[in-house]
Amino acid sequence: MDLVFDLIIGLSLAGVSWRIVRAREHFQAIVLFITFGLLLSLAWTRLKSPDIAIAEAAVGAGLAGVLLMDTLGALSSPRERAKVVISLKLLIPCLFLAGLMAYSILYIPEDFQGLGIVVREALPQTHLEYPITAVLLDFRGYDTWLELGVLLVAVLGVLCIRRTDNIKGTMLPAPAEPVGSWIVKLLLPLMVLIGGYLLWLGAFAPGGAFQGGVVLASAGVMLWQSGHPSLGLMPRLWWKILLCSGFLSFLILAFSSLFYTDQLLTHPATKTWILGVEYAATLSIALCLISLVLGSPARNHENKGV
Amino acid sequence: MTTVIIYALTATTLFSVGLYGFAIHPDLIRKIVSLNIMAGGAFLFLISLAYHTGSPEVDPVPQAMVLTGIVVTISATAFALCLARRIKEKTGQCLLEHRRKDTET
Amino acid sequence: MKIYEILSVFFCLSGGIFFLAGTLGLIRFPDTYSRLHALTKADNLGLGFIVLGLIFVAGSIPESIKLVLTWLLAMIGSSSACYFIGNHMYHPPKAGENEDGSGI
Repeated sequence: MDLVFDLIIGLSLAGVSWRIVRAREHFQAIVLFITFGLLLSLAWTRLKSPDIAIAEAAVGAGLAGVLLMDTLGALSSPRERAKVVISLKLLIPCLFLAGLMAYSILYIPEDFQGLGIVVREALPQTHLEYPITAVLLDFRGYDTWLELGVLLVAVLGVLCIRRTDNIKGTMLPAPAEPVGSWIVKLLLPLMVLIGGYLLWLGAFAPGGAFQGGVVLASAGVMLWQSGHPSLGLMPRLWWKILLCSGFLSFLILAFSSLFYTDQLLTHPATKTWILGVEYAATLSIALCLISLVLGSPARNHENKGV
Repeated sequence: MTTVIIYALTATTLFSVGLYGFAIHPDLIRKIVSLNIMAGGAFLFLISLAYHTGSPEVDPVPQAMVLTGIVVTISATAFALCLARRIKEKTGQCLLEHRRKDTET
Repeated sequence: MKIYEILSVFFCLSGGIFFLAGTLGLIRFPDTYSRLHALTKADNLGLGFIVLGLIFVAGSIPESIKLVLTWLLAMIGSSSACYFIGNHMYHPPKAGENEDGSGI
């Protein structure tokens, strides 16, 4: 029974991806891409990775969809048709590549153990109960640190392209209809609550900085889309500080550890340290993602008449 | 074991379909969407291998890598979309030039 | 098989039937308004039945509360998304305004 479910998910993933490539209208391709993200998060659930499923549903389907739709609205009329031809010259090498990669699956040893056991043995030292959070914040702290750096660089890059230092971008006008503000009133507290809950959960169950940050980011994007003024009220200095807080807290952690050992990032294994870094990382992931969505160039009138 | 094979095969298919889409579309938005499909394929491959391990729980290290990867992908996507807007602003269209496309692909 | 499990299977199956009907409506109905009608009504009901079915086999009270909360949130989300899409169709944005179709 499970096998049938897996087969359905796999086939629909492949089918949807082919439809995305073959779609005539850009709009159609983007809507299908959102579907693709949701199907992929189903696949993550089947592969027992609820953390990735949450992140994929919020980022891959939600935020990426908003970004793509927003750009499409600014770039072209959504119904513009693209020329779609099948080029055998390209298709055959791609099929060949797929065949080669599929062939390589056969060479994975049957009794391959992975790093799960090593992580489980080292887990008590971190005082965390959930292995993925431990890997993200402790064992592979460098990855998370640099990832926060990548986010920060992306925000800076967007600002450079726009040639501005106004992170907040342009606020949308408040919509006339009441439902927008009603749904913000209803959903915003819940989203903040769920973001915090996921963050708190990360110490011992699926959840953590990434998932919490992503949910908070989608709350911010919702505020922006509904034209709610509260997003613009935060002082710009605070915005900048919080944007850097994740990267900075890792930097402080790395630097302060030099006082008693020779290595970077070998912090005293107390839960407080790790949780402090995690909370800062959550805030800065959320704000970086919001800034990336907001930071897209203003949709003023000279841009789109072209 | 069969679950792993199903998802790993799906992942390779997704990667090649994404690559094909990336190569064939001159339009930048479609290229970015195809890149995201490729990323999805790569992540699915990693996790299906993590699932494959003999131990009952899924290997946490690839899971953490994929979580990081998802966030990096979205920031790269946002940056690329911003660049696409700038290109549209400068050149009036959002395409890679045809001549260049032919030599690259 | 306990009575709870039988009830759970029954409700989940009926939820699935409602989802099927909603999807059929989405594919077969001619215009946006009737498609929205099919999607929101049938799918909310279907999700409600599935949640009800899962509550019968849920392990604890907090788990069932979370399930009900999921249903309520999905209803709020789908009804407001439906409103935004319908509003977009009924008052199409003028050519000057640049509006995208992404109702969150």
